Amino acid sequence: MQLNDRIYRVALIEDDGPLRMLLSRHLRQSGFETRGYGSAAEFRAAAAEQEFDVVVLDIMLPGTSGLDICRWLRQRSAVPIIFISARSSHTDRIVGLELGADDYLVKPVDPGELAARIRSVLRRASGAPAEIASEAGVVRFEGWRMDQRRRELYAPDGSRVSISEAEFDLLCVMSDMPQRVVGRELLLEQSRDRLSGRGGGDRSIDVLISRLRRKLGTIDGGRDLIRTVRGVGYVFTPSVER
Amino acid sequence: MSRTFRLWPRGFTGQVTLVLLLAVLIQFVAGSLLVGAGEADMQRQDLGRRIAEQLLVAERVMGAAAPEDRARLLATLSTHHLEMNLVQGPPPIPAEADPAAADILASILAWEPALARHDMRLATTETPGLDLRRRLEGALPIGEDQWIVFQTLQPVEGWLVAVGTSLRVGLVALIVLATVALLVRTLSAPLRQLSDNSQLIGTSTRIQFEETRGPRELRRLSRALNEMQDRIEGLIAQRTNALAAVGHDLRTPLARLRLRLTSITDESERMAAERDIGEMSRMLRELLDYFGAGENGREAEPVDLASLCITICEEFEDLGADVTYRGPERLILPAHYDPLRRAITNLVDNAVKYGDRAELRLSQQRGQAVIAVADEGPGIPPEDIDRVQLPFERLDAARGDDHPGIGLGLSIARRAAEQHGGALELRNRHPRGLLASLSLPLS
Repeated sequence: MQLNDRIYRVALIEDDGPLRMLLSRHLRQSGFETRGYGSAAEFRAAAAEQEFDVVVLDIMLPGTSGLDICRWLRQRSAVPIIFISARSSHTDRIVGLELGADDYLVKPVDPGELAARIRSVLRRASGAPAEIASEAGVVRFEGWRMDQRRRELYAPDGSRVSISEAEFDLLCVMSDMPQRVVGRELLLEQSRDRLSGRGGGDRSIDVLISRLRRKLGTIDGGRDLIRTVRGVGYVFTPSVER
Repeated sequence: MSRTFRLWPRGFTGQVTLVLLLAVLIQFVAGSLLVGAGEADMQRQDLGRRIAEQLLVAERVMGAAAPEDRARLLATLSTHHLEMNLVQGPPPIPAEADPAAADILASILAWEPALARHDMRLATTETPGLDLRRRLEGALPIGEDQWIVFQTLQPVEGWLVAVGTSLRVGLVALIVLATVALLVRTLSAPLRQLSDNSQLIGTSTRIQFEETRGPRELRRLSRALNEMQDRIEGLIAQRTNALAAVGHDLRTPLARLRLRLTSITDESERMAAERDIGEMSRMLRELLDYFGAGENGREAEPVDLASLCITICEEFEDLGADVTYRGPERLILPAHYDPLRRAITNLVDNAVKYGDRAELRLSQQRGQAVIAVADEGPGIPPEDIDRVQLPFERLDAARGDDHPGIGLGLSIARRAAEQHGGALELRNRHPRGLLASLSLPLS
């Protein structure tokens, strides 16, 4: 599954003109076809005419709030929605996700991070049949539970395990392709938005994988959840349920 | 002086009871004196009357009787109370009565003025032994150098009667006092509750003072305190909201600025600008975290503290800091994930900022998980250790604190510790460096 097969269309709804322009430009540079809208009304008019693959939504908009647009969108489609907000509290995040958004980012958004999150929700949307259930985006393997929307990982004993954003993305990619060899190039491709400017590369992927292994530990019998295929890539060994 | 302080009770109940005790005591002493005096007077009159009646009868009988019969008749007239004898010649009783006897003599004569014709003598003498009563001796001349000599016992002194009465009065006074103390205690209960509760004003616990019960003055005070709390809360909320609004509003221009950086071609310039923006957004986040921390995100859940510490250390490493983790691979305890993550991040951030390198050590000690972050920086002067944990307090620039920040990192960490029922402790290390220990209960 490659994400670069076609150009994805992103709708960006942000009332601050310069920020909208800058974000659009950056998303275009990251390979997305981006349309910017300054208000809910503008976006609704456009949404009637064309389909988007991802909607990036500011919560605080003049007139209608981003939450209302999210609700309106969810009534008619399962298009992935990412909130960007100036509010960072846990409650705001939860409200956004409860309404069916797929991700929630706090301003000032790191442009690389935004591109990474867009790729992440796109992959989820294309991998699994769209569903707007409460368990949407929850992946299980060997007793582990990964909530892709809230970006939370739980061990088999129910405890919350902390991994970094980059590690989380890697785990998402690998759990999408269980028991198959995933090439280092693909993983690198998935992580490029985050690793850019940090002098990363092949070695960065290996570092991320080894950190991920350490936190996932071994399952009964000492088998690693992630196995290295020398010179090629990695295999995510457990079977995955959604 | 300290003695006086100890005698004067500090509590309201004690003070009121002491005042009442003094009042009762004065009443008791004065009452005893009055009762004693009255009692003594009555007894004297009583005695005088009795003696007067018997003497008058004896005098009349003696006057009518033949001289040879007189002694025999007088003996038969003697009673248990008054013993009378006939003697020849003046008896050894002084003509001048002593003060106690004079009072009784006066009451005798007042009752039977007829006796005043004779030159009657009366005297008191001490009785041997421990008997508190005194002997009363007297003589009445009846002519022909014959005297009726009589003696009786003076009754118990009036003050002795008074003691008995006083004891009973005292007992009643004690019961009254105990009842009053109990009532005062009950009455002052709302006052005590008020003073207990008023200590909570200004803390995060909101106290609703009872406005409908208790004495009127206390209800007024309660209402005033409630209104004061409303005002304080209103003021704080207003300022917090204003600061939070500014914080939120700043995020949009900051987001623009961050995106504009990508057009800077000079790599090192861009990195420097990115660091600046990172710094600014961290300060904003600190501020908003601090003001938003009151809202309780969600319930505590089991958290793998080890993975949290490891991830935080790795994130600092990725930013180029020298941070090492020592501890177990897994350590699970109930926690609030986000506040805890912020707390540990702040401690490591401080260590990296002030101490160049940091070591995070995670261990279990006596039912607690201890996250100890050590650095090799200059540490904190002992007199400033408490102060730097307060919101917006920082070390002085004169002491080499030229690092950016708004002084909320440690307050946030401390608040997270308290939210978990744990504690934050700062200690200087030898020979140099600071050790920040965050301890959290394991269950």
